[in-house]
This record gives sequence, C-alpha cells and structure tokens, in this order.
Amino acid sequence: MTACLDTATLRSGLDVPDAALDEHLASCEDCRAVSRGLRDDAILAGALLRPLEPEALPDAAATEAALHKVRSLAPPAADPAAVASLPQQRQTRTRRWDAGLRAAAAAGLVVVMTGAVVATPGGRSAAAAFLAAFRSERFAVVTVDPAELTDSFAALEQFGRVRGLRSAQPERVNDLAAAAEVAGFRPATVDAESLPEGADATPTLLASPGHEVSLTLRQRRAPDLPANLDGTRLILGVPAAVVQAYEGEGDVPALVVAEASQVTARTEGGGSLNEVREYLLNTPGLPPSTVAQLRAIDDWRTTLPIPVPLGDVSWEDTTVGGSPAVAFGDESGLVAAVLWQRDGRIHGVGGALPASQARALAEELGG
Amino acid sequence: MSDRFDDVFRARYGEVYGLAWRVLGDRDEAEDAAQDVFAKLAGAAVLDRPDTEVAAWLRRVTINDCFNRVRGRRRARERVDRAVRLEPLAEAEAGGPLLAVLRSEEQTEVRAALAGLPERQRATLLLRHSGYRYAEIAQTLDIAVGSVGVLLARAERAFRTAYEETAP
Repeated sequence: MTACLDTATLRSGLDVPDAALDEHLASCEDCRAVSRGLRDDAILAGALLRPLEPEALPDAAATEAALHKVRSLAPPAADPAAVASLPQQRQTRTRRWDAGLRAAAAAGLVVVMTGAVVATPGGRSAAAAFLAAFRSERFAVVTVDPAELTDSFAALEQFGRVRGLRSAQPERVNDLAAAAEVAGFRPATVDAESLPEGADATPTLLASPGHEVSLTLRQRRAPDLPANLDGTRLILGVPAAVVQAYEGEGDVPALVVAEASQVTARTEGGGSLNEVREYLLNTPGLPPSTVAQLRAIDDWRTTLPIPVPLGDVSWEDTTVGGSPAVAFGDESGLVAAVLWQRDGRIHGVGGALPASQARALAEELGG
Repeated sequence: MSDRFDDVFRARYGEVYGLAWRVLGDRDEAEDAAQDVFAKLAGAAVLDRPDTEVAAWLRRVTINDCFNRVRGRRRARERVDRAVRLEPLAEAEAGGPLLAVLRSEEQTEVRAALAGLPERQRATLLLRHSGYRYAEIAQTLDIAVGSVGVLLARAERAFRTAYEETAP
C-alpha cells in the first residue's frame, strides 16, 4: 500500500476521476474515512448553496439593455490609457455621464417639480417635520424637447438607484367597478350622448393603483453630487389612475377621459427636496430655457409642471368649474385636451375632437 | 466601445451577473455589480488578452467587487430595511427578489455562514459550486491548480461548521 494521500488529492478526487486514487482508497481505511468526510462536507455545501443560484439569467434583450447602459457609463475604448486606473476612469465617466445628463436632469426635475407641493398640514407628527412633503395643487406648462424626456424614469438611473418602476403597471379592466377597485376611487362617467361623433360606445379601461418610485441619489453614479445628498431618497408618489379610451376612426382616440389622484414627492435620509431641486437645476447641460421656466414657477412647492413638446402644442390657462385648468390644442385644430384639478384629483379629457367640445366635456365631468 | 468589448459583454454578462447574484442575492445589486465590472473592463488592458484570461479577470473583479459590497453590508442592510418598509405591496406580492431573499430563512442562514469564511475560501466555495473547473478557479484566484483542492476542502468544512453554528 502506498503512503496516505494529502487532502488536496482526496478532495479533487471527488470531482475528477483518478484511477490511482481509487486504487489507493481500496486498500487504505484511513484515506477512505477522510474521503468520506470530505464527500459529506462537499455534498452538504452543494445542497446549501444550490438555493443561491439565480432564479433566471438575463435574456438577450436584458443583456442588450445592460450593454447599452454600460456603453453610456464606460470610458471610450479608443483611449485605454486614460482609464487604466480607477480615478482616471471616474474622470472619464464624469465626462461621458454628461452625454445622458440632459435627459436625466430633465426627468429628475419633472419628478421633483412634479411633486412640488406642499402641505405639511399643521398637526402632523414631529417626525414628519424631518421630511419635506409635497402635493400638487395647480399646473404650469413647461416646454421641452421631447427627446429629453424619453424614458424619463430610466434616465434617472444616471443619478442613482431607481426602485418601484415595476410595481404597478396599468392593467386593463372590464368595467368601472373593477377600475374603482384597482384605483381606489370611482371615476366619472361620460353620457353616451356626449361622446364625439364616430366614437365607440364602449371605452377601453385601464387602471393602476398608486405607488411610489424612489431614487436614491448616489455620488458613485453622479460624481458631482454634493456629499450631503449622497444617499438621499427622493420618493415620488405616482398617483392611482383610471383611463377611459373611446376609439374612433383615426389613430388618435376619439375621446380619452383620465382621472388620477395627487402627485406627491418627498425626500428622506439627507437632503431636502429643495436641495435636490437646486442640484438638478444646476446640472450642467440642462437646456437653459427649461431651467428658466422651472425657476419662474414661484410657488413650485404647489405646482405640477406639465411637460409639453416644444412647437407642437398650444395651450392657455383656463378654469373648469372654477378650478385651475389648462386647455391644449395642436396646430391642426383636430386634437384638443383639457387638464384640471378638483377635489384633490387630477382630471383630463382629450382626443380627436374640437377644443370647444373638449371644454364642454370638461365642464360636464368636472364642473 | 470596441466590437471586442461588445462580444465579450454578450458572451459573459449572464455569467458575471450569475456570480454576482450568488454573492449578493439581489437582482438589482447583481445587475449594478455586473455592469460596474464591465465598465471597468472597457478600459482595461486585459481586453486584448485571450478569452480565458478575460473570463478569469471578470470573475476575479466580480468577486472582489461583490465582496466589497458585502463588507458594506451594514449600509446594504439599511437599504434593504428601507426597501422592505417602503416598497409597495404590489411588488412584494409579485415576488420581488429582494423580498424573496429576505423571506428565505435558509438563504439568510447560508449567507451568514458564508460571510464568516475567509474571503479566499468563500470565493473558492462559490466558484466551485457555481460549476467552475479547478483550472478556472485557480486562474481566477491566481493560485496553483494543486492548491484548489485543499482550499476547497477547508472551505467546505469551515462552511459546514459555520452553518451548523448559525442555523437553529
């Protein structure tokens, strides 16, 4: 019999066939005992570690999306020397980060401004004083380049971790009762005789519950983020909503009636909402006209900015049933919409209909 | 960004993500870690080396990055706690990976036992039980192939002991 084998050989023998090892084990009780112990440890480790396997690996689409994201973060390959060390890489990332900055900053501002309202009602607990809580009360139209708001929530990833995007997708429901169950409120109904000409009699109904989207600002993602904002959570309350869409003959629905609860925003764990807003407003590369329009909103804590594509849409301030409202129309005069707030909810009607009919419907529903 | 980088990314992203997931146990964290690793690869000289070397580099950087994240577990735990308190119920009920992890006491105990191992043992254990061959483990950890067996044996024994002490 040969001399006893070392642990490395015995352990690797459990994974890799080894005739010499088998021959030795057949004649060596000591090594068999050691091997059995190693095998028991290995089996237990395998069993315990198996649940740590990922539930699913990224598919091709997710991989491409990740590649796209990394391309926007990573330094250019043409200059490898510049990124040989981490500090240098971060500098490069900062420059590259500018490329997606405008979209992200614009989206961030919409998030912050969107919730820009106040109201910490008197009497809230002392703990609430550490939060900045906001609720929309009126609108302000802000013109934007549509390209800057594309995929706006995803663009927020430039500033940190975004959570909650998957939590409440709109779902198609069969009737208003089901919509009310999802949204938590019963939406207004449209009389059949008020429908625009050519509209289907039965609407397609979509409903979504209210949920929160949070952005945790991280200096690692946004290198110029002030230290006191690192780790700050910006929490946007995305309202519950019900949409009733009446299809017509064209691409644009004949009528869309939408109703949503309040938009809110607050911060936790560091900077105030005002500080986050200021940081975003000072982000280099943000279109000056957008910044100027947002800064011009004096009562930003109570004002919901409505991004409107530059040049395509006209609008005017108005009222619906005495409540503040904005009426929109496109250049063709064929599409119109009215947005208003009433009783703590945001309402909208619009579609391929004349402006006068949109106004009349708004008054009927919300007056 | 070069074609070489894109090819490597497409070929290896899932693998890197999977390794990160095993260490971190959270989909978002694993994606974040995997993407950070590839962002580092984009400017690294190793990208010009053969595939096997690039793969070993990716595993090594992934493990180091993820272990660093685990070292900051106190902060991570705070984030998790906040997420549990604040994530909408709909996501929780949909079986979000974060909550799935938290709900699994077994995983929690396994991770606690893993966290107590020396890092090289922990890395060896994770790599081997992720299906990597001895040569790949050796290349990843920059050790001799002949050392993998003994390192693995020690890791499995230490892991078993730690788990039995951790589990009720």
